[in-house]
Amino acid sequence: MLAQDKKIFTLNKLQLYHREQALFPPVSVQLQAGELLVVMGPSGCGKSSLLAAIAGTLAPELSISGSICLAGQSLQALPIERRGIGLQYQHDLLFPHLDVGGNLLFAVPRGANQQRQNAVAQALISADLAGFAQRDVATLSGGQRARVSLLRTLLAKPKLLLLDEPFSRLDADLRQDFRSFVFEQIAAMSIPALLVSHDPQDCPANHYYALAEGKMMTLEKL
Amino acid sequence: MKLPNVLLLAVGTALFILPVSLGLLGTWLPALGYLPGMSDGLSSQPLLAVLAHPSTWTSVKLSVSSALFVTVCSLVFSQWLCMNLYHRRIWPLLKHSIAPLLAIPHLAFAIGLVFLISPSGWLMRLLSPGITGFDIPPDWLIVNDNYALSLSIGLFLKETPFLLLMSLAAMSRFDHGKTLQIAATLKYSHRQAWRKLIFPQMYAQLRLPLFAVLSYSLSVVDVSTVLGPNTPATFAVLIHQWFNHTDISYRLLGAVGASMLLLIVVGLIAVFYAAELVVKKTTQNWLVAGPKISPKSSGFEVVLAKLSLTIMIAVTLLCIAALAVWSFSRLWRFPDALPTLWSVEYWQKSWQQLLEPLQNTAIIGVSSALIAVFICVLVLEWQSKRSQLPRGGWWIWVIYLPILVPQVSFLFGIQVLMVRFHLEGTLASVIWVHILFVFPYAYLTLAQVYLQFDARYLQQGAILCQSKWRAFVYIKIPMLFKPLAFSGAIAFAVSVAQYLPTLYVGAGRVNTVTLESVVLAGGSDSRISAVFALWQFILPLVVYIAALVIPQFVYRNRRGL
Amino acid sequence: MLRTAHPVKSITQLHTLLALTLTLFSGSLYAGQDKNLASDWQKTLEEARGQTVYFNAWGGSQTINAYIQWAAAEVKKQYQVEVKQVKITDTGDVVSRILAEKSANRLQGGSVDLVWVNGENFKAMKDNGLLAKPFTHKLPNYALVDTENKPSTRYDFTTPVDNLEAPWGMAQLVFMYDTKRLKVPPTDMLSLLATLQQNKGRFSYPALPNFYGTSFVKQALLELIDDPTLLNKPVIEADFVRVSAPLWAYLDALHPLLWRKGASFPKSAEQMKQLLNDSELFISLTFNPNDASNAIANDELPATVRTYVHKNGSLGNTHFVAIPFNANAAAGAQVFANFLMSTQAKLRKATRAIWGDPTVLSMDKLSVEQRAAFASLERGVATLTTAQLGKVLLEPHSSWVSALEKEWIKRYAN
Repeated sequence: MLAQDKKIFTLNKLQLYHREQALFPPVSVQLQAGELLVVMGPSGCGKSSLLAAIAGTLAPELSISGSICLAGQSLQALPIERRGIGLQYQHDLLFPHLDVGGNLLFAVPRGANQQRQNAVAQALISADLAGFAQRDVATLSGGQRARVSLLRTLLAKPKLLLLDEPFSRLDADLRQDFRSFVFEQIAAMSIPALLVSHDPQDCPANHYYALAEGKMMTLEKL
Repeated sequence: MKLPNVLLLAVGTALFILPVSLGLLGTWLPALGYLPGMSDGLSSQPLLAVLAHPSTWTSVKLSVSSALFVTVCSLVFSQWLCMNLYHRRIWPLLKHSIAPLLAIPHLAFAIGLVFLISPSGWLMRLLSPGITGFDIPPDWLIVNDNYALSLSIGLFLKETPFLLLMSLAAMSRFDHGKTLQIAATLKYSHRQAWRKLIFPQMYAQLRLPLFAVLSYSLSVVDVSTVLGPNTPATFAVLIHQWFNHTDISYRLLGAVGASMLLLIVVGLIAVFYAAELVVKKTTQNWLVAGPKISPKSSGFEVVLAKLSLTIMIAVTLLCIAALAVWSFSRLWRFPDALPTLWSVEYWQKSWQQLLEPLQNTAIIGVSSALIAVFICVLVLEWQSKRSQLPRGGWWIWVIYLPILVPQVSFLFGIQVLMVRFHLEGTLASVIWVHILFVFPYAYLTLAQVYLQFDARYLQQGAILCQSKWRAFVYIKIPMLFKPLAFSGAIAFAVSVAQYLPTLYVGAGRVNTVTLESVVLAGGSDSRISAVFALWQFILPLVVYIAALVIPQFVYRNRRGL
Repeated sequence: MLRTAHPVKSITQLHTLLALTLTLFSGSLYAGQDKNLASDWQKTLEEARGQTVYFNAWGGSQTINAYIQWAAAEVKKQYQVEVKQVKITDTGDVVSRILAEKSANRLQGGSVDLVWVNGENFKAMKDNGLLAKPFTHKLPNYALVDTENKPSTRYDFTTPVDNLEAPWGMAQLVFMYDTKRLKVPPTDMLSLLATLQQNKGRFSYPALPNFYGTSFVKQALLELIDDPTLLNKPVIEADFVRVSAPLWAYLDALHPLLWRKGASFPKSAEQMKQLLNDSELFISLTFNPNDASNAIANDELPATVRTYVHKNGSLGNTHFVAIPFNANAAAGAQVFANFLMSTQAKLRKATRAIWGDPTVLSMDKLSVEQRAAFASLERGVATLTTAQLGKVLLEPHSSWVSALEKEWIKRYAN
C-alpha cells in the first residue's frame, strides 16, 4: 500500500446530473504521479463530461456532486486557468497563425527568453521533430501534428493530464506510434493522467475504469 | 465534371467580371474626356478640372477619414463585444439582435437618427423644456457636422452588426470553444486567449467583409446626404452632384471623380494590407510571450460591453420608434414630447401609392434573392467537391468585386451599356443588377455552414435514396434549410436597400419602395418621410421573420436541425 | 443636393421687346393655319391613344404627386393615354439618362417621354440637342397661355423657349416666417442682416449648387449690386470679382448669423420647411407663393406662418414640361402637356387645397365662366395678393449662375 499523500489526484463519489438525472454511478478513484487511468464506456455515458468536470469546462446545464482534488487542493472552485490541468482532444487544435515553434512557445510559462526557447527545442528533440520550429503547422503530417499538440500541452507543466480520445483520429499504425509516445511522455513528466476512450487497445495495463458500471474492470484477453 | 466547371466559370465571369469591367470602362473613357455625343477625343481637361476644384481635396479628406473611422471602429468594437460577451448570458441577445439590426436599411436608419438626435429631435423634445429650458431648439451643429462625425457614427452603428455577423461566421470556421479551453488550460485568461488566438484566426475571414465596409463607407451617397456635411459634401456625394449637374460637361468631372474614388478604395485596401503586415510583424513576440497571470477578471469591461451593446440596440430601436411616432403624427411641434394630434392618414395614402412599388420591390427582391441563393448553392457545391481550392482563392475576390468597387465607379458605365443594348428600364435588367450586389452577401452568409456540411450524411443518403441527386434534394437541402432561408433573407434585404443601381438601370421606370423613400426623404414632410422609411424597413423585416419562423415551423419536432 | 424642377425664372428686359415682336408674329402665323393645326391635332390624338407616357417629375411632394395622379386619371379617361409618373429626386438624373441614351445613339424609344424642367436643366437639354422638335404651338391650349404678360413663359432663365417646352406653372421667390417667433419680417437683404442679429441662427439657405441656394444668392446680388443692368449681360470673368464684391462682403457678414453659424447649410428648401416647422428656423424660402398656406392647411407648418417678399421685388420664373428628342410616346406626351395647360387642369392646380400653384394662363383669353372660377378661388391665410407679391425681378444672364456657384463653393465649401 502506498501512503495516502502519494495519491496526487482523487475523485471522491463524483457524479454528474442532468436535471436531477445522474449520468453515471459515483466515481471514486485515486491516482499517483505517473499513473494513467483509462476510462471506458459506451458512447453517451458521460465520459467527456467527466473530463469536462475535472477541467472546469462543464456545460452549465450539468451539475456536480462529490469532490475533485489535485495535489491536496479542491478544484471545483477554481477557474480553468488555475487548475493546472493539461487537456488533449482528439483534434490537435494547433493554432494555424503560429508556426510549430510559436505553438509550443505559446504554452511555455513566462521567463527568460533563452530558457523558454531551450524548453521548446528540447521538447522538439524529444519528439524527433528537431528543426521543425519554423515550419508552418499546415505542412505537418497527422502524426507530427498530434505530437506537437501533446508537446504543447505538456510544456505548460500541467499537474494532471486529461486525454479525450486522443488517438481516434489517427490511422492505425500512427496510432500505435503516438500512443507509445504519449505513454512515454506521461511517465517522463511523472504526472497522473486520465484517458477517455472506447478502444481497449488504449489501455497500457490490462485494467480500466468502466464508467457505466462504476468500477474497475479487467480486459478480457482475446 | 469538366463541362460544369467551365460553365460555372463562364457564368461567374458573365455575372461579375464582365459587367463590372465594362461599367468601369464606361466610366474611365469619359474620365479621359471621351463621351460620344458630348466630347470626342481624349483630353486631360476633366482631370485637371477635378484637381483644381476647390471642394475636391477637403471632400476626399472627409471621405477617407470617415471611411477609416467607420472601418476601424466597427472592427474594433465588434471584436471587443465578441471578446467580452462571448458565452455570457447576454450572448444570445447579441446573436439574435444582429438580423433585425441588419434588416434596417441604412437610409431609414439615417432618417430615424436625424429624427432622434438633431437639436429639434425626439431626445431634445423629451428633455425640453423641463430639463434643458429650451422652448425652441438650440442652434447646435449635431448632424451634418463638418468633420463628418455624425455620418461616421451613423455608419459605424450600421456596420457593426454586419461585422458581428461576419465574426460569428468566422468563429464557426474553427473550433473556437475548444481553442479557448485549451488556452485556459495553458493558463491564459479569456481576454489574452481571445486576442492571441481567436482574433488572429478570425481576421483572415474578416478581411474581405472589412474591405466591403471600407468601400461602402467611401462610396455611400444616400446616407451621406442625410447625415454628412455639405460644405463640402463627402467625395461620393460630390461625384453624384457632378453627375447630375445642370451643366452637362460636369459629367466628365463625375467620371474622373468616380475613377479617383476607385483608386482611393484600392489604395486604402493596400494600406490595410500593409498595416496587417506591420501588426503581424510587431506582435510576433507578444503572441508567444507566454501566459501572464492577470489580475482576477475584467468585470468592469464586461459591464461596459454589455452597456454598449444595450445602447447600440436601444439607439436603433429609438430611431425606429422616432420614425413610428412621426409616421402616426399629424401635429408634433417642438418641444412637445409626443404629437398633439395623431393620424393614420399618411399610412393610408402611402398604401394607395405604394401598391406598384411594393409589388416591384417584392418581385425584384424575391427573384434576385432566390437566384443569388441558387447560384450560391451551385458555386458551393462545386467548391465542396474541389478541396484543393483554398477557400480564400482569387475567385473570392471575383465574387466580392461588385461590393468592393464603389457603385458610382461603374454604374454610370453600366447605364450607358444598358442603354446601348436597349436593356434598361425592365424588371429583368434591374433583377440582374441586383443579383450583382446581392450575391456576395448571400454567399458570405451561406458559405461557412454549407461547406461544413458533413458529407457523410449525403453518402448515407445516396445509398438510401439510390441517387445522388435525390439525396441532395431530400437530405442536404432540408438539412440546410435554415441557413439557406437566412441567406435568402439577407439577400432580400440587400436588394430592397439598393438605390443607385435601381435608379440607373431601372431608368426610373421600375419604381421601388426605396426609390420612393429617397425621393420623399428629400421632401419637406417629416410624417411622409417617416412612413416611407418604415415601409423600407418593414419588407426586409417580414422576410427575416419568415426566414426564422418558417424553418422552425416546418421542423418544429426536429430539435437536431 | 436637390435641384428641384419646379421653380424657374423670368427674363431680361432686353429680351422683352424682342419677345413681344416674336409673339405677335407667330400669333398671326397660327391664325392662318388654324385648320391645319386642328387636323394635325386630331392626328396626334389618334396616335396618342393607347400610348404610355413616362412623365419624369420631381416626386418630393405628396401634394404634387397626388395632383399628377389625378391628371393622369383624367387623360386616361378623356384621351385613353396612360401616364406614369417617374418620381425623381433630381432633374439632373433625367438629363443624364437622356444624355446616356444619346451617347448610345438611341434615336427613338427613349425612356423619358415628358420631363418637368426649367432653367439650367432646360438650357443643358437645349444646348445638347436633347429636346424634341418645337411642339407647344401645336397644342390647342397653348393659345390660352399669357405669353404677353408673363415673359418668363418664353424665356426660361434667359434661354429662349422656342416652343420646346410647355409652360406649366409660375413661381416667385418668397419668404415664409413664423409670426410667433418674429414679429416684423425683414424687407430687404440689409434688414435681414439686422433681423438675424436679434435672432442669431434662425435663417439659412440651401448650400449651392442647390437651386434655391443659387436663387437666394442671385436675389442678394440683384439687391446689392450697384448697377443691376450689368447682370443682363454675360458675365465678364475679369470683372466678376469687382462687380460681385458687395455680394461676398454681404455673405461674409451674413454667414456667422446663419443657422449653425454657416458651418453647415440645409440640403434643400424642403428641409428648410421642416426646420421652420420645428422652430429651428424662423424664416424659410420657397418658390410657390401658396406654399405656406398649403402647409398650414396640412399641419405641415404652424398656423402662425406668413409670407413676405423683399420690397424691391423678387425673382420669378416659370416651370415647364418638355419632350426629349427620342421620346417613345411623343404624341401621348403632347396630349398630356396640352391637358396640363387646360383650364380644367389649371383651375385644379391653382386650388389651394390641391396645390395652389399660380396659373400660366391669361385671364383675358378665358371665357367669362372660367374667369369667374379662377376669381372665386379662395386665397390662403398666408398667401400674398398679386399686389403684395410686388415686382418680379429679372433673372441675371445664365452665365452668372455658374460663376456665382463656383465662387461660392470656393469661398464657403472647401
